Amino acid sequence: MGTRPSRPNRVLIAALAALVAFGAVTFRGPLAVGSKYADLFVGVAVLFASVLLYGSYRIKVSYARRVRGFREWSGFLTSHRLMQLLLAASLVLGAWHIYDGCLKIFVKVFE
Amino acid sequence: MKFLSRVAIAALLFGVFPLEAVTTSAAQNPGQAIDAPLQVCIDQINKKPLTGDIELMLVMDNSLSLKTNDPDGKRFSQVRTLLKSVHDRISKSRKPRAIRFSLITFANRAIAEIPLAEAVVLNAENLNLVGDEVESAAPGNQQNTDYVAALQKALEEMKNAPSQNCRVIVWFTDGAYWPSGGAKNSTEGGDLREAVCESGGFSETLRKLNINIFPLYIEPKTPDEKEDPTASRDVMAHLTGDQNAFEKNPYQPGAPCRTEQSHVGEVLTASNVNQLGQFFADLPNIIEGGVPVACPTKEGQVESKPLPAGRYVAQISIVKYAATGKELSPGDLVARQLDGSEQSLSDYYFGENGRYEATDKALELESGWIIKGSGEEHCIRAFVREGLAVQIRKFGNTTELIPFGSSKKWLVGEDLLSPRNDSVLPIVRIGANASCESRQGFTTDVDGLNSAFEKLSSRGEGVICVDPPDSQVFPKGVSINVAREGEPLIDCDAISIRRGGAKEYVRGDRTEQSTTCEIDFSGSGTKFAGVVTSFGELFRGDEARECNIDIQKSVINADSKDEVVLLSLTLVLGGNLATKCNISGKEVIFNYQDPNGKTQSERIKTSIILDLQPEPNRLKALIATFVTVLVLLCLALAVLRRMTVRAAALTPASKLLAVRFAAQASHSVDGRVTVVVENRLLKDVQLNMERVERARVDGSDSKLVVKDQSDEIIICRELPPLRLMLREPWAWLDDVRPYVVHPMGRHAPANQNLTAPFRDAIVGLDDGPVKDSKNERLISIWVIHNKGASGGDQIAIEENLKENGQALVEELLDHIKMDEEVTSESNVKELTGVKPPKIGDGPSKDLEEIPLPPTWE
Repeated sequence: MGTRPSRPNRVLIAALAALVAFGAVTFRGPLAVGSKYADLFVGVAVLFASVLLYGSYRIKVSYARRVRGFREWSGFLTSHRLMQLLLAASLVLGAWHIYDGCLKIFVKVFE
Repeated sequence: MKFLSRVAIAALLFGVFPLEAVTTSAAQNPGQAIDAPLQVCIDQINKKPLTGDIELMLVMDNSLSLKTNDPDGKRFSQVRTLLKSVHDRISKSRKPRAIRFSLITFANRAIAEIPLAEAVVLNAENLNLVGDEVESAAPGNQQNTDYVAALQKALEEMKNAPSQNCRVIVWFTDGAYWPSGGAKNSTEGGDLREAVCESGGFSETLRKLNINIFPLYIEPKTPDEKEDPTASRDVMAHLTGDQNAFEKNPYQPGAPCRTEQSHVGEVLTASNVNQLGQFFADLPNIIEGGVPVACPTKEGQVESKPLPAGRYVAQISIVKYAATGKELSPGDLVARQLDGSEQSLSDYYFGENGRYEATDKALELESGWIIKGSGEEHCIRAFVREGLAVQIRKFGNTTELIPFGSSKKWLVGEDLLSPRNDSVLPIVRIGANASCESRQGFTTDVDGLNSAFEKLSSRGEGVICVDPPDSQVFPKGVSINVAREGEPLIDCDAISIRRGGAKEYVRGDRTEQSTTCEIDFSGSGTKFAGVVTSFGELFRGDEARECNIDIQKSVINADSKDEVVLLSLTLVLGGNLATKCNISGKEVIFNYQDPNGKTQSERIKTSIILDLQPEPNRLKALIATFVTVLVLLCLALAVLRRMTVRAAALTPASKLLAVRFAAQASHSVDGRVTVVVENRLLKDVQLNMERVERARVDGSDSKLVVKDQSDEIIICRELPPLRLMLREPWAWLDDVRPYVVHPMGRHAPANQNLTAPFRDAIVGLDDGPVKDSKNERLISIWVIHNKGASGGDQIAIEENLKENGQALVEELLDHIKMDEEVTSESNVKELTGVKPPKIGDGPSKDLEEIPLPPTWE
């Protein structure tokens, strides 16, 4: 077709990486969110947004493969693998945030 | 590595335990000024130790000069090393303390990035995050270097620290004083010197607040003429009281910084940022009270000053200061005794990660032994033994000192009797005012011991002065606990309960266990007679209620075993509530019988510090999390599916009109292509909607199947199931015939599968060659449109066919080998009744029937 093949979408990769970083810094340490609602909100946001970002990335790659061709990064760390790692990290972080929020909500009632 | 200040490091000493030391230079260079002992974590007024948490404040330079002096940001990795090593060491020490980290950055003004009030308690989980915060807070991108603003802010913050805490400022800077508007090099006076050195200045405030300060100074590569480097050095020397700062001995600052100050810090000078790492690596040893005995080693030779007997040197640390070369371990060094005999140091000290504990064999090392070896520049420190205890016991007319307690093996065989003139080592002094330097306290000869036995308070203290002649290693001596005969040995300072933090919860059984205090009655002639205080008496009603303590269930434990009693508290919380509690100043009283059968009392301090969240129902929380995550994932995938549908530009089948035309394309020798549709040239075609073949269209938003009148599937598009969405959202089923789709913007190369966009399209499919012809092929042309297109369906289809049909077929023929000899009968098709190849999917049951004309003429 004469057109150059598409490269991995860096914006989406950076966005997912930023999401993971956000989930991590707000998890523990000086920037950790304290209240149950903040924990829940961050968890839901990270979990939901990460799936959408990953899905968007896959749609773009798939479309690119069919229309212009797709040129993946060379080496061990392909963009696909990186996105899978980031997705896994964000899912774990998001779930853990939600768990932290739930811990604060479900206070045990002793006898 | 030019570190003259490393001589000063020899005295760099602040710590968990109050310590004082002198620099090695004093001992090794008699003509030079003797540095006063460095006093760290000590109340400057009453000289008592500060036993609270460690307030570690990093005052970080954020000026532009760092771009030159540390372009790669190595300081940040070294700060991370500092945080990790300080945390790791202190948390594993015998008396762990919380390290509260605060951060101030400065350039033209100072900012409390982590205020002391919100100090981060370092733990294994947050070290990296704190390191990240330092890195983001001080990138080195601001004008000026205003030390006055920095010190003012640091002292303001430090004022807020609890008075019992040990306060340490690590002040990192790579340049010199450069306030807004600039300065110039000066030999005396000036704003900076006045702010620091004059009466009521920062130096005085620093000492009033019992703050220790360690300026880490990187010599600037290219000093600016607007900087005042001399004043900068003067105030650093004055703030620390370090007389050996900046390679001068003694350092001579300009007025008004000439007043002598107590020694509360050290100036550490590095010629470049790489050298900071070595200081930082040694900082935990300094914090824990390591005394420099060979630091820094010079010219490839290691030789320590004469050391006290091995029994008093509990540990040694060995840290490489050189940027290159091998890090030495005890196996690389020897211990040489006074008689010249040598043995590997590893026989006496064993451990890892630069810290080595004395083995039992260390008892053989006699006073005056040294460490020898060779290697790159290192710093070797010695740690004083703790926990020694003796008892004054009378046998008839003689009084003796008998070692006892858990560390008594280190005193076995040692002559603890010293005459009044103190001519024999070790010198032992007992009593509250015992001191090695002034030789105060009771001697341990007959008279002294008798006096001590009569006058010593119930829990006595003392020192063993162990330094060999002409060498100062432990100038304050080794502390000993002293009990009279007839008194038990109490091996603790206090009983405490301490737990808190945002992620610390009330335990399921609501109990908190205190530290244990060991009281040894063995050999003392005494007998435990029970705890006098009950828990209810110890913590009154209101206090207990505020602290959420159930007084009825909480108890003071006294477990007895082999004449050793273990005292502790078991605290039961009243309810599963957020608990904040800070009680101190209480005392547990217990009784014992002395050898005469009289009942005596003893008191042990007690404190409770709790900051707990209510215990959650973890199972419920787990289930709720699982459900929430599941719902969220489903929701996200549903949204993703919708996104995919939109991206695929699918249109519901009910809104589509799909019309099939049978055509024949001929390819002439001169390259021209002629397309005939229904016996007409394509350019002349005029459609009669009643006479064209129309297909049946079945589908939904996510599925589309186009079939001809004989139910053969022509084209099928289907979204994958949810589980495949994240793997391949465009997993379509396709016709396998060569084809071309127009418009170009939405279609794939002709040799690949049909693309997703599937509306307002015209598709050409190759049905094979005409029988016995090399240059004619049968073509199926599908025109797909939204129903109700502007101008009517018929006109829209006709226009699309005319506009795109010719180009479509030409492109399709380009992809087909026209010169292929047709021999197989099965490949030969007639113009009419062409049946496209069947693809895998069967016909759908809910097909929408679209009326078809009876014949195709």
